[in-house]
Amino acid sequence: MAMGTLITAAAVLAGINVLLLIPLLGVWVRNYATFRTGLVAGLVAFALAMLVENAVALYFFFSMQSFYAGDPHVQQAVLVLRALQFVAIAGLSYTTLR
Amino acid sequence: MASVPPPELAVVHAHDSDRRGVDGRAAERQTFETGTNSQDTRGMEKALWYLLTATRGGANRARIIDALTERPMNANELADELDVGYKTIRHHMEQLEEHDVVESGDEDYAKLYFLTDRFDQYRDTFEDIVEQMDR
Repeated sequence: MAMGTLITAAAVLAGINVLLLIPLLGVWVRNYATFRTGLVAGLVAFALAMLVENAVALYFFFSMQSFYAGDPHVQQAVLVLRALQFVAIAGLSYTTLR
Repeated sequence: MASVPPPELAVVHAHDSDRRGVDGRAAERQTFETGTNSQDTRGMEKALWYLLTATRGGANRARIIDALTERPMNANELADELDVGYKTIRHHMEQLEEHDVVESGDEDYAKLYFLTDRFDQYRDTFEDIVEQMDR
């Protein structure tokens, strides 16, 4: 069965989130190597957890489609949550990389 | 017996004076905070943590601050001193200036950058942040 449009959109957003989190993680790992402060360790842990979360979400979107197939409301909710997370990560990327 | 207030009145009085006491302290604390600009200085601590440890190029910003501690320099001198591109230096200077860590002279050409007095008050914070750094 083809993937629903909403879940496809959610998967694209999760992919973009991963692409944004990789450079963020890179910046913070490098800064941790330089400064070794607790704040940066926290940022590294945060980015890692978000990266894993988005990777797991992608896995669910592609491999466990029966989770979402039945109910369009579930698909909408999944898309909204993914979109909000994208906004959060995009904002953090802007302030971190400039 | 007539001079002793009924228990419930006494309770109300105690509460009243408690509240006055708390309000009084709160007001005092507020005056103290605005009086010493501690809101400003908390802002400086946060700015330093953000500019140095949370963003790309934080290590170079720390090296810029170190260099300006020795003497005021212009962007070209900083670029030579730190072996970093001129444009990168200009970008960092904009960020540092925006957060009131450095200030520059009025010249249009080769203007010198200085560390601000506000930064100097928070040099301890800077030293804490760069403690583990190879300098």
